[in-house]
Amino acid sequence: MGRVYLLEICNKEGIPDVFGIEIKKSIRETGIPEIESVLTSDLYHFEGDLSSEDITKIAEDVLLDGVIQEYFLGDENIKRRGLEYPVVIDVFYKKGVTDAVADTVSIAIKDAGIKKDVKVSTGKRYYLKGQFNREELEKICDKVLANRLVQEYSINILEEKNG
Amino acid sequence: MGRYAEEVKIIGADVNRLMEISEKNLLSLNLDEMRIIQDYFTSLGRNPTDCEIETIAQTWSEHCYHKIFRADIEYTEKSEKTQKKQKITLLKEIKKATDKVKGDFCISVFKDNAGIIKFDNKYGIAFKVETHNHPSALEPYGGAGTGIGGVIRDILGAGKGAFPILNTDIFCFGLLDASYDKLPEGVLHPRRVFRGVVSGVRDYGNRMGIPTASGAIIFDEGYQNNCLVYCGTLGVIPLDKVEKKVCNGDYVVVVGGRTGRDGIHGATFSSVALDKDISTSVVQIGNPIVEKKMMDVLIKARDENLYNAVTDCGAGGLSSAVGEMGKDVGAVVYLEQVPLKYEGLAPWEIWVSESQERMVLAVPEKNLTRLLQLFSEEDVEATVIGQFIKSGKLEIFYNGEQVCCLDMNFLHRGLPPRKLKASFYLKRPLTDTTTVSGVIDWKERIFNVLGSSNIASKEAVITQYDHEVQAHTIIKPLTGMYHDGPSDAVVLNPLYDRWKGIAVACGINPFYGKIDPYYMAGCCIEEALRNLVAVGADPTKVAILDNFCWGDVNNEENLGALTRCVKGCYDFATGYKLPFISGKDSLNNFFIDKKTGVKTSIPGTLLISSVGIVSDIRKTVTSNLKKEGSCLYICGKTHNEMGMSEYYRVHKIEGGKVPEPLPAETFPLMKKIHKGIKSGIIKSCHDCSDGGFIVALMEMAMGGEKGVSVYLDNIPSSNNSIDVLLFSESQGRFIVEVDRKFKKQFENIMAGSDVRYIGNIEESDEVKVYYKKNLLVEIVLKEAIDTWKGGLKW
Amino acid sequence: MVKPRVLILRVGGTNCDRETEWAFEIAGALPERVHINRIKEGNKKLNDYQVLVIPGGFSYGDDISAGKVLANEIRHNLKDEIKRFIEDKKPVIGICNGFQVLVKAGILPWNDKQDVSLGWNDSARFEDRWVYLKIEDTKSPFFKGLPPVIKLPVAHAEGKFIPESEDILKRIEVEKLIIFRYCDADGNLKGYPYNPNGSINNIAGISSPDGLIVGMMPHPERAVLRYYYPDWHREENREEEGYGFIFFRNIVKYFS
Repeated sequence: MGRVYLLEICNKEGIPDVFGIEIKKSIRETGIPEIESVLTSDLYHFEGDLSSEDITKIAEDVLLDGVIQEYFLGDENIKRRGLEYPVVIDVFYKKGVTDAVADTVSIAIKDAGIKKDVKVSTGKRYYLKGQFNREELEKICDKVLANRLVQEYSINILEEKNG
Repeated sequence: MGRYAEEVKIIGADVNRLMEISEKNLLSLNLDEMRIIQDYFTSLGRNPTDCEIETIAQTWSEHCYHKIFRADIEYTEKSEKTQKKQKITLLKEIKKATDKVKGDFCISVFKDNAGIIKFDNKYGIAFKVETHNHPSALEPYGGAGTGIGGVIRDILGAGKGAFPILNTDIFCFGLLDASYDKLPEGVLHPRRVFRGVVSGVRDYGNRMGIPTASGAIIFDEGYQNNCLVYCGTLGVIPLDKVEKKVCNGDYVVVVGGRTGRDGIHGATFSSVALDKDISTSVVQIGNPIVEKKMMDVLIKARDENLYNAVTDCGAGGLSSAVGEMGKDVGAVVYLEQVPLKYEGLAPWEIWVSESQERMVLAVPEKNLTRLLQLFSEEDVEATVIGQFIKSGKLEIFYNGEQVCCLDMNFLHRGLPPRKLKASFYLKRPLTDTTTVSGVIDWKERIFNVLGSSNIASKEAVITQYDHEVQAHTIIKPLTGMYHDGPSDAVVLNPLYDRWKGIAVACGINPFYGKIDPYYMAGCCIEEALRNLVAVGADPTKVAILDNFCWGDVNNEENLGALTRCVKGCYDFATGYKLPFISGKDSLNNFFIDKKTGVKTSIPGTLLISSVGIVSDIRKTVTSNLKKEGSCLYICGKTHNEMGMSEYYRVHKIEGGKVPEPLPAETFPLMKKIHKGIKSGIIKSCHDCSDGGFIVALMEMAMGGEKGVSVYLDNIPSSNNSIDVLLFSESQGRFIVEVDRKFKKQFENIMAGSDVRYIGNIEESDEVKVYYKKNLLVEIVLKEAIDTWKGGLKW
Repeated sequence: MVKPRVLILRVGGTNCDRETEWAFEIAGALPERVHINRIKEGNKKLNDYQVLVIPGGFSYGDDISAGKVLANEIRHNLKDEIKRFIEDKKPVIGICNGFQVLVKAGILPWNDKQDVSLGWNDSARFEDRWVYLKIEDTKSPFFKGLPPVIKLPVAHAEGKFIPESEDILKRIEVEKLIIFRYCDADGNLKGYPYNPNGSINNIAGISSPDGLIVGMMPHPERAVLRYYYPDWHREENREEEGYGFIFFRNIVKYFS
């Protein structure tokens, strides 16, 4: 069994998150006006015999567009953003569903010289600002962020944990 | 039985047990069919394996076998006084129309993955339209993406492979402002379906490098629980690559993507009603780059003549592809050779899996090495999984164990036609409630129609498609730099070194079908043709495709409506001398609300897609007005045909007659229009369709940023009320712009048809409509453009 | 005149290669579409060609981000060949996806590290539309003979030009690396839809300091004939060569 890593890539401060704006609009349409702001990130999940140098190389060389993006390991970015975005939702494809980006990342990792067996999956992370109850959050997930037929999501409410 | 296949105990099973087997395994076979299978295996003296019964179920699925369209139907048409009975087979009726009118222009009809017409002496054009409704309703992005991926493979699998040059897409959605809270459980909101479907087609089509440039979007509450997603592709094929024939000894080679548990039972599921508990494996996400890579090599291999036949893995997966290719020969397949995405698939799952981006080739031994090399050079997997052997049998092995052995003859010809009853009640035309009393604000009414989601600009969708990749889009879906008007058809010059081109369009109007599906068929056919004529295609060199999407056809009345629609297809296709070259049906588009038990069927929907030849793309015209000082004419006569018109629906007016096309008048008119365009006399041309005369006029003016003055009284019409003149959707009408200096010539060309001079193009930014010498309404173009563009937001 | 040999680089997902090939052909070059594997394995040599073109499309699906995977592949596998190619003063052209690749591989503008990027359109979606472009005082020889304002189509999701810093932007402006900017019909710089993606300073294409490496979001290969213009039915001189053709011919002329 190899080690597990999660890399998060998002736009640098000052580079607009155009998807966040679109998703906020969609959430409003479902009848949840409380949504104040949404930020999005790409998630890359790796499982394999990777060293921390490998993972840095994957992040900086294979994945990152350093001019406009920055990357974080695990939940570093969640901690950084803190309670300003009290809800974080991760969405991944279910097992067996085509994950084309993951296939490409696997090729790109090999091309970068890391010839190890790595299992890759990709997902999205959404940061939500606003006041929501659990029911509303599930509505947001089911009506906007994910389709349970092909994806699964996890809702992380920071206040609950920290309080 | 063996280690790898399970025995299905069918011999001696009673009625209940037979149906239990069908239902438990999601076979979608009815009792009669189960009995035929039972008899077959009883005669063999053994039970079938799971792999065999799955193979039969796939092959005999509604999706693959078209049992309704092949059925012997006893059709009754009733009216208040009369009752007519008729025996009819829908598929034969369609083919009969083609046989009557085809000629040497049609090269391959109804036998291959796509219909093929002649482009010139060296090339043909292949065209196919498919639907992907159920998957799109459940997972709009993946469903639509795999829909377009599938129809592209149909084109790659037409003949020995056509090179795709255009995608078309036509969608029907529920109303975008539907309330979120009133949706039945398991139904996605129409807005989400809309965005997901468009994004799916966009991301797949754009990545394939095929322009998506032709289509339509219909909004009606009848599609809320079952959306419709039609995906079409056209391809260019050298005429010497049209024929394909599997030879004894050819290797079965699967190329492209790997096989997983995706889409198992997709074919059988496609004709089952939606309910929210459907298993998830039917929904897939595609990977266009795998298909693009496969396409790049396939065309190379075709040009090197490396294989004898090719077909795509669509519904039913390998089972359908190999079964279909080997049906006149026989095939042996070794399933353990099939490259898998992951371990753990049972042999029958490998066999019927509908994993995307795969095709099957029949490769003679002498070419095998070269073929495998070509694919490996571009990192595309190609694997020998068996051989076509003249045995008349389909034999499948897994690790040495035989898991299937079926007679090809039984598999492909063993199912007798169903016997069905259908009836249609011809209602007396409802009396009109036309002219509304009181003072009418015509501008407001015009804007209500212009900004309705069905008429409004689809710019927000069209611009998301790369409609210009391959650099041959000569007339684009919208006119002008800033898309201020719609085009009637898209025109391409598919081969860079010649001016010859094709025009592509469609006709769809499910609303008319709510009153009479017969005239719906007529209107769709005429519109599909009219759109092509309007850009300059030759009306005598046009082929059409039919795609029926219907509700619950187990219901006698629904089947009756479908039958009446098919009868309309025959009459009007022959009326306009248009051959059907390919068609498809998607039936049982209905939804059962688990909570209330209420069943909703979609409106019976016919899509007619059309492709026509343009002898010189430089001699085409667009719909937007060109020049101040030109004269405007209307060609064709207006009648009081307001039933289900955009105007009536927007203003909630009931009753009225739907338009009744008149081929005997319109076809000759079209030929004259064509002459006018070809000779350069007609500067712009637009057909009157949804929204009637005024919408067509506004679209021409907006697109051309030109003002006009028109005089309604000049419109030849059997009814002179203002709303009829403005909004009736009578067929067979065009508005054309003619340079003042060609007035006489134009009138000479058009002699014998109802053609009238109705106004002028002016140096202004307003459309002015006069009636009985008074200014009825004036509209500032800028305001009209904002309304038209604002009617459909992304 | 010797016809220059043009290598049109192809990978999985490339899709404007055929029309680019045709454009070079009618402009008088000898184009060839070559899969990157052929170069990597040594069957084809970059050195045997005079022009390198990375055409439009979705290399590797534009997965991760547009052009990123191919940019890495070039950095990892063809770095030296490309360096020599550039030193030999041979043109390198990146159109749309090719522009994204050149920028992310650090080849444009200074063949060094990545200094600029092409981010997601402000509209958050792919858009195909025609734009007007105001030609700047560019060092590139490939834009001669064009009027001050031309029109070409763009078709991309990630085309918003973003420099890493104000300094980089300033350098690009001062060194005259900007080829053209999005504008209206009269050449005025304006916002959406004239600037279709929100590019900083309306920048639509840039070159290297010597003008021989060129990257642009618009597609000249879709405008070699005026019959491809969106409103050619209103063009008086529709038989004349399209703006795109002039660009490709200029590349060929560079070798005469």
